[in-house]
Amino acid sequence: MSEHDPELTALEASLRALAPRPALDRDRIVYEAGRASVKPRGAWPHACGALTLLLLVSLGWHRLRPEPPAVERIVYVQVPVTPEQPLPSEPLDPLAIRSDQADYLHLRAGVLRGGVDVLPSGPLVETEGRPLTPAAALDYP
Amino acid sequence: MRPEQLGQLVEEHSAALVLYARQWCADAEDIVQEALLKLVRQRPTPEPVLPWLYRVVRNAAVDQARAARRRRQHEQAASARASEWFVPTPGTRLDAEAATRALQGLPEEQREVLVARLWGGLTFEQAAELMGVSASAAHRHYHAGLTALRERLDAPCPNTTRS
Repeated sequence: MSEHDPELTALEASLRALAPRPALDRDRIVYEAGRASVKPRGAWPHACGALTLLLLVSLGWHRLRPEPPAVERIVYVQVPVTPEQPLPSEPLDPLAIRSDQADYLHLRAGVLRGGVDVLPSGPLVETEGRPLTPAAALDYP
Repeated sequence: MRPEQLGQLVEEHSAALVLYARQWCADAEDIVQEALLKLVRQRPTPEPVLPWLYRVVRNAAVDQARAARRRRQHEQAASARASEWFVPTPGTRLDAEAATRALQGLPEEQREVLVARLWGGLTFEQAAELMGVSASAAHRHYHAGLTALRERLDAPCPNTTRS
């Protein structure tokens, strides 16, 4: 094409010799590029700003909001009634001792003081028609 | 991307990028600046960087041109900046303003491939990818654009009077 046509090749060279008008300032572009490179990017600055604004609005609203009036109300609460426990007919005496226990304690105190001779000589309990001897009571053969 | 790399990119390619963006919109400088800042934010840096930059500039410029067309200001703004495409350089064979007018009169696809190839330094394949056409189609547009420019630049401009 143009490389085969000397006239067009000469025209190409003449056109290339024309210098496009410089329109940009090199230093300004480099400066702007430096500024652009340190600018925070992404959604974080916007999110941070929005949250700060929300916080300020919320605080202001809380401060300016009138206090709600106090309302007094009477509340009736139904308490469940438990049936009364019947009282014992006679008071319990912790010191009350049954009569057979009293006999045993009396006998024990006598043995401690006077030995086994204090024990009654007769059979203590009759078992199967035979009198219970002290040896049988102690399970001696 | 390190600052010195960015500075070198601005020095070597920003003028051609602005020229490329001017085909569609009046605020070409802002678009190229935004593209460069977008490049700095890219992790990792796109490779090769030049076709990436041209694509970003093209997308932004076309979007802005659509918006401006809706406002019916595109043509007025473009014509107001017609003389600002090239630096008038004494001693060159071509007049900067005449070349600008000749370029502006080309169909968009011819003008785009010429700018991308001649001043942007892109290959036909890269320019074709930008334009969304095949490499052979880009080659065809380029040749047709050059031919049209030769005719326009050789013919005397009807608006100028020669002494």
